[in-house]
Amino acid sequence: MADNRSDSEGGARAKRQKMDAGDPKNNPYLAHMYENNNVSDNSALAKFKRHQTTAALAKKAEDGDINPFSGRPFSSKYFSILKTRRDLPVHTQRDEFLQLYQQSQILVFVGETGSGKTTQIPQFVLYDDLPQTQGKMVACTQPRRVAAMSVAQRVAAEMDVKLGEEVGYSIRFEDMTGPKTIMKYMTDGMLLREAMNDPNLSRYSTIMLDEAHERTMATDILMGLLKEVVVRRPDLKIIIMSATLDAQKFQRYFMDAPLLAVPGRTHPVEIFYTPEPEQDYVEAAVRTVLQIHATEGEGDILLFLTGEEEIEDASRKIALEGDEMVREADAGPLKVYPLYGSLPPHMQQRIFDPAPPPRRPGGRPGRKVIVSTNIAETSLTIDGIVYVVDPGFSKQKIYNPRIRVESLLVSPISKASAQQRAGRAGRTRPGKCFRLYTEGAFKKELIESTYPEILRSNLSSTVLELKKLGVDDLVHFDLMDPPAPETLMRALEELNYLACLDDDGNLTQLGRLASDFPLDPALAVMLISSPEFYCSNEILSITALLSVPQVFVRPPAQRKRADEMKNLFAHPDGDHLTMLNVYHAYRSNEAQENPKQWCHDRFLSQRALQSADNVRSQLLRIMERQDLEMISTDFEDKKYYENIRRALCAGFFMQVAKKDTGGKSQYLTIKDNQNVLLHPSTVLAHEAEWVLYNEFVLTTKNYIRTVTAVKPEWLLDIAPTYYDINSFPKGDIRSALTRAADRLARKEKMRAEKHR
Amino acid sequence: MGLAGPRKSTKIGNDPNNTKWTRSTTGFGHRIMSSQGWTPGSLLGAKDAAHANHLTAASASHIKVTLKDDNLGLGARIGRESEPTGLDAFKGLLGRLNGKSEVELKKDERKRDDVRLARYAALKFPEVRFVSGGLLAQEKEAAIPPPTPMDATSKKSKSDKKEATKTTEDDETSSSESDAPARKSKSKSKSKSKSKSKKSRSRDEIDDESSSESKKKKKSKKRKADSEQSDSSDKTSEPEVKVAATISRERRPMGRNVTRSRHIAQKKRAIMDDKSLNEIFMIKA
Repeated sequence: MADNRSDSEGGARAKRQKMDAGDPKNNPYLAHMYENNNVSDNSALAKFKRHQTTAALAKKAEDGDINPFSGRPFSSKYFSILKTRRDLPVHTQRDEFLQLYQQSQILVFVGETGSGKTTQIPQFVLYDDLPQTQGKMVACTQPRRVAAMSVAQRVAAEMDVKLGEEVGYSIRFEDMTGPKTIMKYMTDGMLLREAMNDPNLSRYSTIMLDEAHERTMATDILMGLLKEVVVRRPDLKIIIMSATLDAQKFQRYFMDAPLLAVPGRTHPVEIFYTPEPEQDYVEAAVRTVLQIHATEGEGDILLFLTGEEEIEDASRKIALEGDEMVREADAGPLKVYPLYGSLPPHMQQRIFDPAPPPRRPGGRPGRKVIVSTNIAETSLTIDGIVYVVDPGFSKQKIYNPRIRVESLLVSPISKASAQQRAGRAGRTRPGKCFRLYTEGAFKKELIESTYPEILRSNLSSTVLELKKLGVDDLVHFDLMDPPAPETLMRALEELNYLACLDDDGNLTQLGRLASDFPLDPALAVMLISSPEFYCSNEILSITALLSVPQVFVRPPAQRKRADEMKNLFAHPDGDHLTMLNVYHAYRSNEAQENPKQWCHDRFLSQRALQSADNVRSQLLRIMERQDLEMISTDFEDKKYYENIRRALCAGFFMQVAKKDTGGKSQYLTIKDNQNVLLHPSTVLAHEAEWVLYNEFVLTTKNYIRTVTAVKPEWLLDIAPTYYDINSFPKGDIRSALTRAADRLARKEKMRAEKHR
Repeated sequence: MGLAGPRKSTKIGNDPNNTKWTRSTTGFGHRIMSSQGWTPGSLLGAKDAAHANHLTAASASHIKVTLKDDNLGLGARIGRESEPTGLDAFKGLLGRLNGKSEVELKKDERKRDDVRLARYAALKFPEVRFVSGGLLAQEKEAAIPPPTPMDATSKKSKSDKKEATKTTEDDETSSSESDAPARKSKSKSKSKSKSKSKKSRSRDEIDDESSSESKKKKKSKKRKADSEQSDSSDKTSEPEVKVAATISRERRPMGRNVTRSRHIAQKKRAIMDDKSLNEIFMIKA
C-alpha cells in the first residue's frame, strides 16, 4: 500500500513539474533547493532559529506584510481575524508555552473550552517548529470528522492560506492535503491508519492529540503507540491537549511531562440540586423546564435526556404545556427542538435557530429549549444557553465479555460529565444548572470520570489493529487504562475462531485482509469469504445495511400500518434477507424515480438507505482493491437465498442460538448458554430450530434482533473448530449437533457412492 | 415492596454470568495471554506503570451496570416512603455499636426528627406565602435593587433571616446578613418551595460542608414544587398579572385533585375576569 501511494505521488509530481516548468522556484518539490535564498530574501522567518523563537518574534512575523508560509501578501481580512485571535486566552501565555514546548519532548496542555487551544496552539507550533524546513508536517488529531474539517477551514482562514495547501485535513474517504501542506488536521483514526504503514510516523515533526480527555479508542491507542515512538524518535514532539483539569493522569502516564494550563473564557454557573431524589426524572425534567420558563429571565434552556423516544416524548410535553402557558398566563413563546444522533441533519441544524421573538413588541422574550442526548455535552456548542437541566443519566455503551454483549444502556453519568454539562450554561453569560438529584447523590453515586471507550467496547477489531501495528505483546502494551483481562481474552478467542489469528497468536493472511476493512472482524470475514458462496454482491449489501441505523421506521401512531408495509418485504427465512429485499426494491427504477416519496410510503428511512448505499460503494472500492470477486448466484436458482444464508454463517457462526426445549420462542445461545427471546420485530415466519443473530439486546428480557434461520449442518461445515462436538457438554445442543453431523456424513457417503 | 408493586417476571438462565467460560483456563485467549506473562488476577498494561494509582476497577473486570427500565431519578429508591419508621431506634443502637459518638448520634436523630416533622407539616398544612417587604433596619436599603416582588418563606419555626443567608452560599457565606435579601431576590426561584422546612434543613447540612470546604462553586438547594403549583404562584408574583393574584393564593389541594382544581380555578378565573367574560358573551369592549 505504501508503495502505491508513493507511486501516485510520483505521478502528481510529474504532472506538476510540467505545469510549473516556467519557474522552478515555484515548484514546491524543488523548494528545498531554493529555500535558503527564499528565506534570506523575503521571508519573515529568516531570523527564526528552530526551537529558539519567542512570542515577540512570532508576533513580528504575524504583523508583517508577507505571509511567511505562502509567500503571498496578507489580505486585510487576515488582520481583522488576527485582532480577535490575540484576544483569546491562550495568547497571553504564548511565551510560556513556547518555553515548555522547546524544553520537553512531551507536553500536556490543559485549556478549557473557549480558550482557543484547538486553533491557536498548532499555529504557535508552526512558527517555532518550522516543519517546512525539515520537509515534515505538524499533525493535530480530532476525535470527530466534522471537527477536523471545520477546524482546518478556520485555521486556513486565520493563516490566510487556501484550505488544502499549507493547511489541510485528512479524514476517512477524504484527503484534503497537498504537497505544500505543513499543518494537517485529521481524525485520530486516520493517524492510527497511517501508523500501520509508517510505524515511526516519520512524516511528522510534531503531533498534537486534541480533545484527549474524550479518550476515544483511537486516541488511547495512539497514546500507547506514541509513548513507544518518542523513544525511537527523539526529534518528535508530542502535545497532549485536554479540556479537563484532571491532567495529572496524563502527566503521570507520559513520564511526568510538564503541564501548561490556560483558563477558559467562561462565566460563573450557579448549581442547584434537588433536596430529595426524584421519583420520575423525565417528569421532573419537564416540570423544571416549564418552571424556568415561567420564573427565570431570558436565556435558552438545554435539557439532557437519554434516548430518541424519551426526547421526543418530553419535547412534545414541553411544547404542549408551553403553549398552554402562553395562552393562559401570557408567558413568552417557547420553542422546543429535539436533538439526537439519528435526527436528519437539517433537523439538527434547527437548534441553531435564534429563540423566537416576543409575541408583541415589549412582550416577554421568547425562549428555545433544546432537548438533547449527550451529544450536546461535548460535540456540539450551542451559544445562548443559560439554563441547563441535568437529570444525571445518559446512554452508554457497555461490553460484557462473559456473555459477549455490547449494548447501549441508560446509566448514571460521571462527575466530570456532570460538570461538563453544567459548564454549557456559562458559554455566553452567567448561567444556572439544575441537577435533578441531591448533592449527596452527586458525591456518592456518580463515578469520578466517564470510563474511556476502550473499557466499554468489544476489543476484537482493536486487537486486530494492534497486531497490524506490530504490537505483539498485547498483555504489556502500555495503555492509559488497560482493559479488563477477560475482554482481551474474548477478543483473542473471537479472532482465533474467525481465523484472523493463527494458533500461535500471529496475524494470518485473512486477518491482514480483514484489518483493511473499517468493519467488525466478523463482518469483514463474512465479506471476504462471500465469493466462496457465490453471493459477494448480496453480502456486500447486507454488510452495508447492518452498518447503518435501522432502515424500518415505526412511528408510534402508525405501528400497524408500518408493520403491514414491512411485511411486503418480508422473507420467511429471516430479517437479513428481508433487509436485502428492501435494498433491492430501493435500488429499482421504480423507487429511484422519487426515492423520498417511495420510502415515506413504505415506512423506510431514506437516510439510512442512502448511507447504506454510500457505505456499500466505499466497501466496494476496498474489495476491488483487494481483488475480491463480485459475483451473484442467479436469482432463479433455488440456492440463491441458501447461499446467502450460508455466507452469513461464515461471519456470524459465533452468534447463533438454538431453540430451547422449554418455552415458546425461548432460545439458548450456543456456548455462552444465555436465555434469549426473538425480538418482536422479527419477520421470521416459522419457529426455526437454529437462528443466527446480528445483535443481542440487553434489557430485563434478553432479545436477539435481526435473526435468520440457519441449519446446523452449515455451521459444522463452515466453522468446524467452533462447532467441535467434543467441546460441548452433554445436552440438547450436543445431541442436535451429533444428529446433524450424522446426516452430513450420510450425505457425503451417498455422494461418494454416486460418484463411484 | 408489597403486593401492589409492579410484577416483573424474568427467566434467569442456569449460568447468567457464564462462569463456565470465566473459569476455563484452556481457551485460546488464556493460553496466548499466559504465554505473554499474564497471570490470572493481574491487570494488563505496562509493568509497574507510573500511573498505576490512577487506574479504576474497570481495568480489572468489565464494567457492571444495573439494568434500568424505569424513570426513577438518580439516587431514588422504590418504596422509600414506606420505610419502616421503627428502624430509627435501631439506627441509634447500630450506630453506637459501630462506635459513633453520642453527640453524633444525637445530631442524626435530630435530623431524622426534623424530616419527619417537616413531612408532617407539609402534608397537613398548605403553605402560606408572603411577599418580602425588605428589612426593618434601613441601613443598607441602597443595596437592594428595585423592588422585585418575591415570595417569602412561610417558616413556622426557623428564622427567616438565617435561611436567607443560606440561599446564597458562596465562598463568603459569612458575609453580612443585611445584604442577604438583595441576593436572595436574585435567586428567587429558590424560594418557591412547598416544604420549606425540609429545604432549610438540607441547606443547613450543605452549608456546614461547603463552608468548611470553601468551594468556589455556589451551592444552593432548590425544591421542585409541583409545576402547577409553582407555575401559577410564580405568575402571581409578577406584578402585571393582577387577575390571577387572588385565586392562586387559595389553598391548592394535593395529589390527584391538582388537575381538577386547576380546571375549577380556570373557570373561576374566567368568570371573575371582565375581559374574558366579555369574550364569552361576545361583547366588544
